[in-house]
Amino acid sequence: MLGAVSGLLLGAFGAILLQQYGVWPLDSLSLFGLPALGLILGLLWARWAPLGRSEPPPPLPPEREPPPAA
Amino acid sequence: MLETRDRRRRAIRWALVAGGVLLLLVLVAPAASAGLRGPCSGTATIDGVTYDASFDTPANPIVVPADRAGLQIPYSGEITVANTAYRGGVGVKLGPFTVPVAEWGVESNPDDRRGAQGVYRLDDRMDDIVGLYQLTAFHEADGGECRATAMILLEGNPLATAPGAGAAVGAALTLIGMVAAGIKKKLPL
Repeated sequence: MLGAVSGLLLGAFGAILLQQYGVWPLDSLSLFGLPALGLILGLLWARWAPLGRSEPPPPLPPEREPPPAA
Repeated sequence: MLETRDRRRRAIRWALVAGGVLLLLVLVAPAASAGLRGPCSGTATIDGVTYDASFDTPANPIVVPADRAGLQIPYSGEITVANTAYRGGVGVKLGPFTVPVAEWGVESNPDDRRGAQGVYRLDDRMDDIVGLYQLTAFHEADGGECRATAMILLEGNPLATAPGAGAAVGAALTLIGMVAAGIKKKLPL
């Protein structure tokens, strides 16, 4: 969710920056295309980004295991 | 369990295909350009450079210098067909919309004058606007009509303007959001 929203907004701000820096005007392609692209890339990034991958936490000690259901 | 995994894989495949198509659109789409259509012609001289409607791509825009306070722009234009009962206007394209910035209403022009020239003094409000804009213009008369597009680059420091500074801050914050979204979290058991 965070990746999708961040990607969408990053695309929108990117389109404005491209226009402000004289690279590309704010046409339909940049106004809609870049946010849509950002949304998709944000989703993929949130799923596969190799940042901060941690080892799985160790299992709980046996005495803290929940009692078996009767 | 297997069904969920298949569904997820299918969704990811679709997202990849859609992302690829959009990326192609953004990277390969030609620059918006149409130049001039119709029996008209015109030029404007800015900072010693004479521009016409061929300056219509992002790589080849009409350049207005950063130091443009009180800039005077000599211009001339003409139409080769009957110019009676004419009207026209100029607009700035923003996404799918065109914001009108100047227009001339219906003039009967009984003498059929077909040319105009003069000196345009740039409005002081333009001093604080920077960036690349797509302009569209039209002129309709009894003898025919003309449509033109041009790119205009208003030079200046984007970070000194509200839209530029706001977009830069927004982009930085959303980049932080992207990094945060990419960090894997330990899931509680």
